[in-house]
Amino acid sequence: MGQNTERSLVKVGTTSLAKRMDPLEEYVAPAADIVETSNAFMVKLDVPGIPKESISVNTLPDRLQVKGLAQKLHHENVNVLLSEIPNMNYYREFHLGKGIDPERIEAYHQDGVLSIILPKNASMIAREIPIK
Amino acid sequence: MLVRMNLDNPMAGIVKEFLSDNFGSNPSSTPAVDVAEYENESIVLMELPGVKKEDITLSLEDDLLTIKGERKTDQDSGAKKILHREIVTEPFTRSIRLPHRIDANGISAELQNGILRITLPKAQEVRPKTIKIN
Repeated sequence: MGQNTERSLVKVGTTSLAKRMDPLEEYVAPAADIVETSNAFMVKLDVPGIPKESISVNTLPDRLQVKGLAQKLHHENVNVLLSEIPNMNYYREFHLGKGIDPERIEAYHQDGVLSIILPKNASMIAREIPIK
Repeated sequence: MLVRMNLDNPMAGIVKEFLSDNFGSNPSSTPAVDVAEYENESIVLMELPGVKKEDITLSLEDDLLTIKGERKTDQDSGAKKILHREIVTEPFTRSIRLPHRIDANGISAELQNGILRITLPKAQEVRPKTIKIN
């Protein structure tokens, strides 16, 4: 169980605080939890303030990429007295092992949280072999 | 692991202490807040991903706004193994001292995409008034 899990582990990818993907954009990594059940991995990411249509989840052969475009927080002509909300684009990558079925990946968005379900392919699911 | 950018602006720390009653608290263990002052109202924004509105309480005493709440974890049935954990689910309380008196009747709040937005109209006596020149 340990060995198989390592190969298909959804590893946390590049997690630098503000990774420059291109000279004009800066990103911050959203907080993420990763859990494993018997038949899937689930990644939960906090992306407050980003509407669903500004989030993209893409799979590459070995990677899952999550991106969220920041929205404007304040109007013009305003006196900002306290500014803690990062108000930057979100970006994070996760390594996908061979045990994940990319075509069956699903994503849900609610209350500013993105949940991604990554079903394990059949070979990864432990099966009890009956002894005849 | 830090997932929030703290401003490098040296004024930010001073403004934050002036406005917040959470002196000395660790900013990354309480939800991030923005406060913006407009002509007739102030807006307070708080990042609360995964929190339902029924789990938030707001109260106002004079110019001190207090927001308390809790992020409830999913009550999933079925065994799961936690591989990586960054999301904080501790109950939170944050008090914010506003820069002006508030007209309590006009306060409104909405929660959308994990951001709580509170509109606090200025009390009549502190609103800007134009003075006619005779």
